[in-house]
Amino acid sequence: MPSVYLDNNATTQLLPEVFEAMRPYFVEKFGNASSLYERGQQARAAVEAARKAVAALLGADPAEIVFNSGGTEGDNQAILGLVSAGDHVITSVIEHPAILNVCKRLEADGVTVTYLPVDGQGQVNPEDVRAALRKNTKLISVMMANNETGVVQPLEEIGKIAAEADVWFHTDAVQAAGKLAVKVARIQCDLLSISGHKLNAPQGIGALYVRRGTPMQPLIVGGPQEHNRRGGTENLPGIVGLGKAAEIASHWLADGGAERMAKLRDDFERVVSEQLECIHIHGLGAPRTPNTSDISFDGISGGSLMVALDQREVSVSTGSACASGDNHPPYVLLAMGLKRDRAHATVRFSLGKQTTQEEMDYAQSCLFAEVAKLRKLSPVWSNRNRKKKGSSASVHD
Amino acid sequence: MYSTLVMDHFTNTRNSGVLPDANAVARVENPVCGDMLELSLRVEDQTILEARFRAKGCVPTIACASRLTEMIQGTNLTDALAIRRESIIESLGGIPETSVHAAQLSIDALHCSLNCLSAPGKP
Repeated sequence: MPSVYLDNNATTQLLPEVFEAMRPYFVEKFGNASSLYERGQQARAAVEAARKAVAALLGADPAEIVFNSGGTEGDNQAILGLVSAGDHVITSVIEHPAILNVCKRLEADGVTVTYLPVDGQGQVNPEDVRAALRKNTKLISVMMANNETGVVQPLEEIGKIAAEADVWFHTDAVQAAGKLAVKVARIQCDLLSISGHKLNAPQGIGALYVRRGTPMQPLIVGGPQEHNRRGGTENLPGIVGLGKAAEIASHWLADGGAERMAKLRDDFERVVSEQLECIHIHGLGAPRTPNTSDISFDGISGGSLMVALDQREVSVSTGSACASGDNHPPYVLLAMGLKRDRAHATVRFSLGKQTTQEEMDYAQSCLFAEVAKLRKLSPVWSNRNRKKKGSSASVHD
Repeated sequence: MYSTLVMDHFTNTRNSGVLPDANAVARVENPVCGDMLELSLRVEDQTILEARFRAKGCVPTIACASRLTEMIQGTNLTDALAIRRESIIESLGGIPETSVHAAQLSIDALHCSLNCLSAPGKP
């Protein structure tokens, strides 16, 4: 069995078709899209074709797509391009650091920020958004799907509240784009960030949807590229790659790809629940992206399980590994009310478009073996078993 | 990320389990990350004859505990108590700086177990 990559929420493999689409733009078609001669116009045409493909994926107008370097820039841009001292921002406690750390910085500069909690399933309550509105609320920023749990937020309700209150609305759709049908009109958002490398395009490219008429100031100031919304020569091969990946994702979604992926994930969770006792699937009671399964295994450390699986060439992730140099459990799980022990015992499995049943079967068998081995070593697990003789209940949170 | 020796001790743990006739047992926990280590020793005539461990925690926690049991078996108590966390880390070919707490947990378990040492055969 070749290595099994189940960390697609961290990054995805560049699809061969995407690489082939990009290849000429490194060497033969290397023009600057701002140049007026043939080579430059060839580059311009490629950029605009990619813009159309990204717009189609999001249900947007191509003129509303601004290419940038990725999700972090898009998130930063959405906030810093709109908000200034004296404004109020509403966001949630489970946002990506690209949102949370910008908000923290802005707080020092005279911006007030409300960080909304989430419930036990990891969802923001839209009524909390409404209750947090103030006269000076400038922006609401709530992510579409969480990177840790895959839990999808009630964005249509939040978008409606934002529209009624006449407040700008941004969503970080980095983990949703290409996995869910993302349509900006349905969400009623004004800004939406996506990242190329989360949908089989290369790292270092992304896009921000900016609804026509949104008064966003550029974050990177330079030339007039991207209609004065993002200075700097366009990353031509990256943009072509993102366009191709967006086109593939649109077809994949239309062809039932998300449903097939959800079935692989659901079958995996069902078998794991049947075979292993005392596991907890986080966010199971909420809508989730079809590729994400965040599971805690009582009695062991998620970090150790991740390394043990890596030894068998199964790549998964944990947000609580000592290996990452951070001994704190994932803040997203703590925000959902998980105890630290359980949060530390969590591993995230995130499937990709290329993940096969055979790979999931292999991952399952490795998982069963390694969980059993670590639990045998665990003083906590041994004591639990002594106290609860014969218990085999699986609990889902 | 981890040295070959750390990975070896993690994958092929030495002396894991519980000693039924232990006369020095301790369980310690790192309150920050929740790692837990249980050490059981059989001590006679001021010498650690056998050591076993069980652990729940990160890779370095398991590797350090496994290595510690190798280092202390057959060692007299004075020498065992002189072992510092740096000795464990060095003997494993190093561990990440952020994981030094893992070696400290092993030292804490050793000291804690010897503090509650009872007479042989009377755990």
